[in-house]
Amino acid sequence: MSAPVTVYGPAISPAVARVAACLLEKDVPFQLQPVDMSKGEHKSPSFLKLQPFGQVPAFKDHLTTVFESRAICRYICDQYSDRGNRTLLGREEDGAVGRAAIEQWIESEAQAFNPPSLAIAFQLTFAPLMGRATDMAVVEQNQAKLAKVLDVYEQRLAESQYFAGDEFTLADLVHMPNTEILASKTETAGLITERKNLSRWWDEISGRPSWKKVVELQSVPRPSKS
Amino acid sequence: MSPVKVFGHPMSTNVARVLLCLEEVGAEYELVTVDFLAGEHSSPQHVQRNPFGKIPAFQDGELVLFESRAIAKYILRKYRTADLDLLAESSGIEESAMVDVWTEVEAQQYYPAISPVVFECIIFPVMRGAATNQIVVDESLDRLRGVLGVYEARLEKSRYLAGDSVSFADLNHFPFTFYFMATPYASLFDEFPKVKAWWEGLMARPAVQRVCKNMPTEF
Repeated sequence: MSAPVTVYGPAISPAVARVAACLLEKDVPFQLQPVDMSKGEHKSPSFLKLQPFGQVPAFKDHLTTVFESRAICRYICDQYSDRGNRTLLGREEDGAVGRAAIEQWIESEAQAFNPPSLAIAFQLTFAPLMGRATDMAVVEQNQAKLAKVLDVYEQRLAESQYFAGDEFTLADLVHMPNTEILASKTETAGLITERKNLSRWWDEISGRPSWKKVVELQSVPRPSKS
Repeated sequence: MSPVKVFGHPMSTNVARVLLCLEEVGAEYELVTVDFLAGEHSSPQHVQRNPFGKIPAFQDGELVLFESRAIAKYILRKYRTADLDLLAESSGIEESAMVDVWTEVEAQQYYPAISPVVFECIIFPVMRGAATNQIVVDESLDRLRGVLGVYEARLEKSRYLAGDSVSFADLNHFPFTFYFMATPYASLFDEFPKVKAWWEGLMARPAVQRVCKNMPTEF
């Protein structure tokens, strides 16, 4: 195995967790390189070379540097195609049709699910960590938006075991970091638990060994640089 | 092959995204109008195709898809040839990853900065008779300026966003930028000469010109 894969950023960041989950599903060893955002490390010239928008994650392997968590995930699936879970982007025999079925739910996550769920996650998890007050009005507005998306999801998961069909794919994986936060907060857990099929889906996929490992990584205390 | 079908309206940014890809690959297609002003996007028939009740939806034989970027990528994969590979998938994994990176950048960085200006200056006034929220516009323009700064640096080093050849990453920027240029803030792009030249290059593409014909510039 060549030089290790490096993921830059803290595991508690949903976008970093998305990439970690994919690497774990693909059985690709990696190291998590801390980026001290409280000290502005993400805006340092050296980090901006990796990620020009100054955001986490960034990703580096022996061949290239990639940023944007969903692009990193697709790259991992392409580059490490013979490792671990080989059907995250569909089965070869299902071709472009099977791939498209997965891509439409990845886009749904990015366009419909992520904005409201990330806004909620920020208010309930990250604002307090940054010493800021939680804005419950923002939480409530976004809960209302998210509820409409989750109603569509509930319907979909009644017809289909996973988002794209009978198998766990990247379409499910991309949803996991924000869902973990929603499910773990008393203010928002009901969004999941009150929807029968969404609950079933979440209970099942959150039990995957790869996800359990991500949650473990997220609970490692962050190194303090003093 | 029977023509593929796009359900939507040619004025819609996300429909235009799909139509542009169809025009670029020269595919035969049928645009089935969904009268969103009359609420047709919420009809049971349309929701069957797009469970979020939005446009576009797409059909190719038995395959039905929603989400414009997913539809566009399906089209680019289906009609890919040796000479026309807008996802750079035959160039190599690292090359196609760069197309994906800058496609994600459009969705995650560019679109959230530019779209509120288009919504506030054009879409909301036209569709709802709403007044423009100048605070939203000003915040978005600030954000867009930051994003365009990154793009300017990128385009100093790279002819197109993902590399030396035009790709889906570049084409994705067309719909919202087109309408942005019809707002009072078009001159923002003058501050970023490489970006402006890149945009003018995209506008000159024959496929882009064909799609533009059905997109109004006066409101």
